[in-house]
Amino acid sequence: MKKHPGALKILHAGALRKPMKECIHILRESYPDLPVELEYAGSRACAKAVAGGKVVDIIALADYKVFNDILIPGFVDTSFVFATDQMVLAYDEFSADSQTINESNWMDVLLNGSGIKYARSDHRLDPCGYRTLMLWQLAEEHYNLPGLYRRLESGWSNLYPKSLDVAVALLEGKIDYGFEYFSVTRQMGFAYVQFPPAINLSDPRFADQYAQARVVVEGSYPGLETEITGAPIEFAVAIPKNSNQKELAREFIEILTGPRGELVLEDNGLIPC
Amino acid sequence: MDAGKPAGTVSVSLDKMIQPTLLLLIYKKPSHGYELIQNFNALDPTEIVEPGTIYRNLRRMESDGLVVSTWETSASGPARRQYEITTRGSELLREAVVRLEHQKKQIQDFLQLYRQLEKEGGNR
Repeated sequence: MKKHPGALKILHAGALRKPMKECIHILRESYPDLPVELEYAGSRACAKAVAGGKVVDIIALADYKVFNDILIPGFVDTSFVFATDQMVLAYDEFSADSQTINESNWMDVLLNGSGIKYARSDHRLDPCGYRTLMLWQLAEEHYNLPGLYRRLESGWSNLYPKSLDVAVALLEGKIDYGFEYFSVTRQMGFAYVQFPPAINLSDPRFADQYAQARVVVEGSYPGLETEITGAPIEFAVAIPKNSNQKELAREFIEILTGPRGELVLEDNGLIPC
Repeated sequence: MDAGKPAGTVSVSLDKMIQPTLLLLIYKKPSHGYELIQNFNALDPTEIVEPGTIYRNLRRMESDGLVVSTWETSASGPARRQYEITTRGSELLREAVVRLEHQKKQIQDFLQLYRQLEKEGGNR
């Protein structure tokens, strides 16, 4: 991408690709010639880039806890929660056993030994990855299937840097199933298996239950580990301290969290909050 | 507001208690959506209301002027949209209470009449 000295620089979680673009279109109604540099990666990768010196004006991530773990207070003062989502199992009409998979038998279908390919994103880089591991832990308890987490974790075929890559792999037919956000699944037009609220990380009523799930990832410094506790999915946005365009960044966030942004988020399968 | 219902009224039918309940919880204490979802279900554990339904109702209530939101920053967590009830919201909550009182009386009369008939008629 061509660099522009006055550009508004936005770094965001891959899952937010489409809504962020649409909100930029709204911002450009007021600033038609505004150059914008839009980059995306897994949320933890985004945060580590900023902590490593990358200068951006807005950072939007799939988990507010990533801000707390990596960016607050050194690089960001506060993050603002703006949307929620849920975990689903995405597939399409060409996925093996797509005619028979459902909410009750999904684990049997994935683990039936017939070579079905299912994928998740990398928990070290992307919240969707550690949320998938949490979903599997919660499913083991919820369905009373001892060993389910271990079997699912040892059975996946592909690991991708971010949730959007899982969706693209499914689109390209490289995998049969992907553990994914509902929002991305809807944006791509995939079919999906919906999980019960007790395990899909969508519902604050189950916050205590979600907190039973834990995943260890590399922390802010090499060699330092961080334990991430399960919680309802909450996307958050912030203006880094070293932003060069704070006023414009605030305008963008007002759009994202305002009435028009809410419509954009809803249209893209997120729940504005 | 519920779809198709004139603006400026609050539904108080017992199967449509979402907005009055949210108004009551916010009247009790300014709250954010996450907290309201947790407390909403504590109020009526038999009713399953999706989080998305709560958030959508809150936004609708704000656009109708019943509540107003501001960003509330907590010491350790992220900033969340916190809702406070407006004067208009308080008025509509009072109206909802009046209607609920009326419905309560209707239900009580209904039950009383049925029990009376049952006692008189046995297996009528």
